[in-house]
Amino acid sequence: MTPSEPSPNPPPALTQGDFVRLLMRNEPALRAYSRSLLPDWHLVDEVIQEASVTLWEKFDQLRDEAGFLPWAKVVVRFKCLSVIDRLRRDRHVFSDGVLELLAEEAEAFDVEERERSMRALRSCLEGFSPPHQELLLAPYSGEGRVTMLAEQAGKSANALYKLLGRLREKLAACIETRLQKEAL
Amino acid sequence: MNPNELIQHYLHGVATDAEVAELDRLLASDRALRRKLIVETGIDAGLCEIERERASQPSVVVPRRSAWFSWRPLTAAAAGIVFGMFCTSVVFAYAVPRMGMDRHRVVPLFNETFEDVKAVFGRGFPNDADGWSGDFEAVVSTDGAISPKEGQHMARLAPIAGRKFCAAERIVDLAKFPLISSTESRMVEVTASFHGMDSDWADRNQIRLAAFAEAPKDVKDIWNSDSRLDQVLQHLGRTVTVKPGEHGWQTLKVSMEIPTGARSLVIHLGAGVADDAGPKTLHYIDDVRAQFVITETTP
Repeated sequence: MTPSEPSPNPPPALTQGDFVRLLMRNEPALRAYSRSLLPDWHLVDEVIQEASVTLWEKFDQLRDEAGFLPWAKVVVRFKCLSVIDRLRRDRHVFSDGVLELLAEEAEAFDVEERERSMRALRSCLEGFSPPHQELLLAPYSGEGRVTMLAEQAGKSANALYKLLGRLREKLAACIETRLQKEAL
Repeated sequence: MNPNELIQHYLHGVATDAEVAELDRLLASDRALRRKLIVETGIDAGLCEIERERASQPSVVVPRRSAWFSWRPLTAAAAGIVFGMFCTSVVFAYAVPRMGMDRHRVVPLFNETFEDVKAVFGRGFPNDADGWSGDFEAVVSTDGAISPKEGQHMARLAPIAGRKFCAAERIVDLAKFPLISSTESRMVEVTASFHGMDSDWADRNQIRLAAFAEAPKDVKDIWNSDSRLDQVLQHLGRTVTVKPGEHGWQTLKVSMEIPTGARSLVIHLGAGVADDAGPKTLHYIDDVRAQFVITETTP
């Protein structure tokens, strides 16, 4: 068969339902990828929002499910660089060279590795006391949540942020240890 | 500051320009550090995901009286995945049947805690979208007994000669936040915290919102003209007086519907001593947040 000949069994066209399912499945990986290039979650939201619309508009270009994540990462990467260009006018951001290196590093962080890390994270998080779990999750549960917890505990927000920093270090160390054990 | 601390500052959004520059320099030559940053952002994303899973109840769904049985349009469903998912909100049901409900989703605009001590602010009314402008004097960590409301720093405002209030303003370019369909409408919610300096005098704090059909770069001339009220599509303000002796951080919140055809949204924060005979003192602002609440209405 020559390259120009059509395949006898072309893969079925991807449907709208496939798009939603693929986006849902890969969205955490895309958010993590964006976060590695962008300085805060608000910008990640903005990029994922814009990228999703682009992905939806161009979805008919995708030939198979396996290509979704690499394709989506390319779209997300361009959206991130566009946002960073805008930020550059007002604040210091990473240089183009470093962003390129970070993107390469983040792309090498494959789905399986991410899933292993996620399992280790869940397991390690359960090892913390409920108040410490709550504090570790507080930055993601609403604006001002850390401050509210500080008020409830009768502590300053700064003191709680310092505690949060120490807990994050412990969490990272726990995850690393688990992943190393798993690799043995 | 060691590299790990630089990474933590960066991740928590409190790194100064100098710290970002230093981290950039280190990352350029240290692959292990780049890997460390990727791992840390992965943990950040993982915690965010876990929190979202915990917030499993769609509290943003408000039943309406009508009981149409309909499928959510797929395009809106796809967008619903990504709008307003800043960890605090829930992932919407995707293309699921639903019965006569308005869906609300949140799109964060900004969360400003003035952590960049070297930030450069414009003077007077902003010339274009996105940046803060006004009577900014400095970003400070503490000033006497006054500490930031949120984070490590706050902005200090100083009134210019001849003006009673000091102001901080920014313009949002609404073209960057298009609605998905004609069945959607949106409100903007702005929250800001104010602190006066002289507790012997009553303070007056204010948030004003105004929507214009013109592009951001054209709003300044309108704002400074006598025809401002003729051209504004929608405006709303809230002013609260703080009694002498009751000083501390005061948080105001204002919501306004964004009318159809609006292109620019002006967010104005004002603070000053209420009494005309009072001193023109410094004022502080911190923890300024803005978000859209978008409502999708089922016919």
